[in-house]
Amino acid sequence: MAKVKKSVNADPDPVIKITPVKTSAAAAVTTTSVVSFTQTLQKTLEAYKSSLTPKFALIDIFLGFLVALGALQFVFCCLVGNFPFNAFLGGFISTVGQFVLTVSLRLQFDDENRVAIWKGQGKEMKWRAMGDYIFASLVLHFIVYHFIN
Amino acid sequence: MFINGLRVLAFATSLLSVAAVSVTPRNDTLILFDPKLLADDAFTASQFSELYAKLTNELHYNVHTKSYADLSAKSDDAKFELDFANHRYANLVLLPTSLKKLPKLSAGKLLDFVNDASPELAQQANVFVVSSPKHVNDDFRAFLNELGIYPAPKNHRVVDHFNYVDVEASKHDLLRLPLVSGENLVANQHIVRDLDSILYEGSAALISNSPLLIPVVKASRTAYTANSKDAADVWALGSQANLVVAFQGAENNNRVVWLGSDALVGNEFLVAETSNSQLVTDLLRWCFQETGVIKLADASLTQTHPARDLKISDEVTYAITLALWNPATAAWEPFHTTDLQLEVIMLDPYYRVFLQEAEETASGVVYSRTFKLPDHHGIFKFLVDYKQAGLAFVRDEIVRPIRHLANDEFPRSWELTNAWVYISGAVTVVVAWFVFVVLMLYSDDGEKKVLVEESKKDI
Amino acid sequence: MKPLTSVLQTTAFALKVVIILSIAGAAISSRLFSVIRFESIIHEFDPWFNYRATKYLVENNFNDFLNWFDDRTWYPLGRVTGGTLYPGLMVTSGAIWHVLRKLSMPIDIRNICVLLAPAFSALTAYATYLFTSELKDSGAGLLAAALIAIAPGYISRSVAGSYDNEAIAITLLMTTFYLWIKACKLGSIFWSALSALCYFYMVAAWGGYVFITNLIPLHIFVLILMGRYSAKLYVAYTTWYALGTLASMQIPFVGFLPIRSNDHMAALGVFGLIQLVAFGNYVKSSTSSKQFKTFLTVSLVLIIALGVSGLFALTAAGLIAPWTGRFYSLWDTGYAKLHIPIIASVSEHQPTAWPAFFFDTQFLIWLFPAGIYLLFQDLANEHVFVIIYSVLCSYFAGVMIRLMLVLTPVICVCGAIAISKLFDVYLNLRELAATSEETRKDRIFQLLSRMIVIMSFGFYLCFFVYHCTWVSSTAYSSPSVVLASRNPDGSQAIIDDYREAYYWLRMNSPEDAKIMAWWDYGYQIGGMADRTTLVDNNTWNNTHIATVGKAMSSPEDKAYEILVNHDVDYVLVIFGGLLGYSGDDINKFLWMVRISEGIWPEDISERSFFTARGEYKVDDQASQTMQNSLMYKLSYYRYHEVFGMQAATDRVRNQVIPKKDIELDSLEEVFTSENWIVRVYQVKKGDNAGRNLQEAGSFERKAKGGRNRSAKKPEVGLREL
Repeated sequence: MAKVKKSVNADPDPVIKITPVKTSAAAAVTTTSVVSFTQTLQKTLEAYKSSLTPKFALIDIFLGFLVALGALQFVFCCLVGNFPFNAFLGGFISTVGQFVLTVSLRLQFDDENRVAIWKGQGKEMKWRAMGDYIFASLVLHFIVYHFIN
Repeated sequence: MFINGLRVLAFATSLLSVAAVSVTPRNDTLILFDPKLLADDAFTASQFSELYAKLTNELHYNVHTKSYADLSAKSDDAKFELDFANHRYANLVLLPTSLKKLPKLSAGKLLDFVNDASPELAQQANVFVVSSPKHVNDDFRAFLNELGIYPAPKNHRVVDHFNYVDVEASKHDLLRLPLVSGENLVANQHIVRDLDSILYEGSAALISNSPLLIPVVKASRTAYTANSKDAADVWALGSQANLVVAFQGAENNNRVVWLGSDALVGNEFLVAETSNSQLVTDLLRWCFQETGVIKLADASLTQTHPARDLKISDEVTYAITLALWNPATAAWEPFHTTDLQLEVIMLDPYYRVFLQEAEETASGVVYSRTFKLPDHHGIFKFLVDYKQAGLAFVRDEIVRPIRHLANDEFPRSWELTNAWVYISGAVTVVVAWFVFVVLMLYSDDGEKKVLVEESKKDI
Repeated sequence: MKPLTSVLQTTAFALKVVIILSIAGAAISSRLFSVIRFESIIHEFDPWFNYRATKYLVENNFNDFLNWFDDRTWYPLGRVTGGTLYPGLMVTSGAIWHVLRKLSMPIDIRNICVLLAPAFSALTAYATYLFTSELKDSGAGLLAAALIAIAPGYISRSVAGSYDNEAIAITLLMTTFYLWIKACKLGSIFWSALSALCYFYMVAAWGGYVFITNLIPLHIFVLILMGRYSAKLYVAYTTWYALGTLASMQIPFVGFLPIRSNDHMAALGVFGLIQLVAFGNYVKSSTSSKQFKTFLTVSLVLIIALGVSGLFALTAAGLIAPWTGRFYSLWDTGYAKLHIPIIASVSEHQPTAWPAFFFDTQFLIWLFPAGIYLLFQDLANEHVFVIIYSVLCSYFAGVMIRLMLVLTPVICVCGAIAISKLFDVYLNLRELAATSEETRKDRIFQLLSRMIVIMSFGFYLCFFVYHCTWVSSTAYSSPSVVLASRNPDGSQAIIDDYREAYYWLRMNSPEDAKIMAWWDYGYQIGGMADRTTLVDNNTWNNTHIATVGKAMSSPEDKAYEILVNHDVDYVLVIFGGLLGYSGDDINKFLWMVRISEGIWPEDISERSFFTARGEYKVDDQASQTMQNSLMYKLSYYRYHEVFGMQAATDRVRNQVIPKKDIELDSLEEVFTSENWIVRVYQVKKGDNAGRNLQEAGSFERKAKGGRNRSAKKPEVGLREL
């Protein structure tokens, strides 16, 4: 386990944590796994930050906005009650649906993915993905407005 | 000669009455009599001459008479059977008979006569049956039993040791009944008016609990009806014995009146007491559908906000006209009542409300009520079913489907404040999405560089 | 690989078009037997309601149809039909009708309804072709299309005249699956959105859409478990779920079920799961594998704990509806008989018998496992889908015979794949020509073995066509409104009693007359006789049906009260005793008793309808309750008059009906059809003299006899007023 990043950890002696402690194996495993968990998350965050291009940043801002809006509607529904249910569902699902569509778009825009998963597709795939995205979003909005009545 | 004189008198009076009042003769009435029981050979001169005069002169019916002997088993009167079956005679007066068999007037035939006349064909079938203690015909008795009237068998008489008229050798069966409303005169202004006392001598009947029967005159509490030959054979006690019973058909409003005494329609009583005469006149008029005839008309259900069909919780006004027939003017008149009810029913009544008088026209009173329809969809019956003892049974039914709310009749989303949050959320999403798409498509930052590098790699 | 020349390509394409067109022709023509033999008429029971709804739709506009309150059924409750049906079928027919009118070809709506199913079966064949081509290649696709075009399992529910939801549902099923496979393969939002829209159309058309709702998430779930998660799957599934669920809630009948009922929770669960898996995948790509393992374990534990407790909490709080009765009856076949007699009494819900599988698919039933095994060898994502579909559907088809219909497409697909692989190997003439080292003898053996296999499979395929045509012709082409049988001299005898009776009702009863009959015939009475009925095949109100059952099984006076309460004018009864027609009401009578006993156990008891020894008899040994019940009286009224002096035999139950006259006082017979199959009685009005009808009837009978001379004192109560 040599991949401990120095910049992440505030722990003075990270090596000790990794070696098994003799007293309680279960407690050791738990603490190990918890620290490892947080380490993993922090690592992911760094990798994410490094791979951020302006387009991705734009997408992520939009995603964050959608999540916030959806959470807001959900909280409002919990507080005030779910009448009218169809309006709540319409508003909530429009955020969730848009979020999911945008994530799919982001996945298709990622160059690594494009090569690894969508094999053999050229760069025009991005434009096609954008077109699909617009089509699906329009369908989504149309149904949402019909639903909210 | 005396008889001839009476005939001439009767004829003259009828002419006079025709000239004076000019009322056309009304429904055909048939009086059936037994010649063996007549005091005279001619019916119009017998002990029923006053009755005959009453029917022709006072009430102006078109009266025919026929003898039971003509209808006995041996005679062959096909025309009568046809006439009878086709309801040529609207009113029938059956006087007592000693004949045993009357196949043309069997219980089944009489019952069919009353039951089959349909008001839609303007047919009526009213029967005025008179029984006598000495002569209780089996056919008539079976007919009356089916209606729920059980006349006492032969030779039973009503005896009252407290209200009798003291004549010599009296067996206390000639009674002067004090008619006390509520005691032995059933309080019913529609059938018989308030009278003080009548003479009665005859038999009585037990009646069933059928709501179609109205006992008009009951015996006093102190009377009993027993076999005159065997006092222990008691048929009815006290006011359970009914002397005059009225019946009205449930479906076609045809009326049957039964009298337990033929003396009531005999000359003696009719001439001696005005209240007897009044009683018989009132009974005849009621029986032959002159009094107590009401009708419902023009039932309507109008919406306050007219629409194509009814839906739940709509406000509607129900209106119906009630009228009473006035035989004197031969026209429908307004009829006032306070207990006309409307029921709104779908398997069970959802509403049961009183209708209030709204206006009075020349030919009826309009009752109406404004209310909101029930909150449940379904096919509802708006029913007015007015049944009062002595009045014709009238019923009017409007069946309407009441539908649910259409999808655009609920409060719309923009009218609900709660929904504004969600609507604004959805709108925000669309706006933000649009901005996002525009930015995505038209911003070219860093992308070109990456593309250029890649294309360089490809080369 | 030799490149194909453009000539070959064009020829191949032309051949494909011709083959598909002829498959479509075969599909349509093998469904037209009943139209040719009888006439263009709507069959069975349910299609009559769909036909009536379609007529309403074309006579009024779509908005009226959506808000239709039907006051001619379920009197007096009415039925909010607009919100309780699946509008897809009617809207499709209505749209076709409008389009044809615009093209100045006004075809009567009845003909459109009758011929819709064959037309859509041709489309099903095409959709199956596309679907199988995605799995293997166009050769397998053509085979699959040919097989599904004539497979009896599908024909049974899509003959001309069978205007039922399944007519378009299977087409939409295959199309949705094709679009789904394409979306999974391409990872494209567009195809996934199309698949969601087709799913929406399917939800609009058939209640069996729940099958798709659970199959697609199950597919994704299995792929995730197999470790085959990829971004393509994420794109495909999330787009499909978001758009599809939102769209499916637009149908009034479905409403909020996709969020609320347990049937749909699997889809939601997989949706959440795939978000987590996507996130985990992202984390995995950024960290080492060992770290990722611990991360995975911790998060899994957390999520499972949260998820299970959340599900339990929501179900306990009542926010999520528990499983419905129909769902339980799929897993426990004995459940419905005990708890929900109505579901158990439908013949289509019975478990499938063994021969039915062979009858409906012939040799494909043994090719089916072979095809699945061959799919296991390829095991791409789309093959996993077909395997899951097959396994799941095989279970359900075994439980309920009606679901045989959903199994048939996948049987055809797997069978086609098996045959196609077989032909790939054995018809590979190139390979045969390429081997030049073999001796002549070996080559002959090779040739011989190929010939044997190919000829035997060719024979199987030809025999399959014969079997399918024979089955369609004899078993699945009867309109069931018109029955056909043979005279003693061999000529065909048409038994048209149903239509005779319904037409009599249509012509001889007032327009607002109410008919009471058992719910089986409700739709037909509404469609052909155009009269208001009390209960019909929709069976949405069990108490109302139980009321009708109670009226049929009660003695006459109690039944009369119920009839008057519900304003019934006519009672209609089906009686098959004269002909030997075993689908009559006396055979269904015990179901009526059971259903009404479920609501009024103190009034009706099933035991009392059996003899002392526990037999169900209708002859003189029948119990008193049975002989006094309204159904018995209405069925056998005047029956022995047909037989004159001989014994009156009920040819279905094979028992002799006692000779004494049945007395019927509250109803009078107004119509009996030619072969006594349909009997119509009119409810008498109340007695004018106020007696109850039993007394009136007995007076009539006595009046014909002797006379009562004695005057007995009657037993009347004290009269108060």
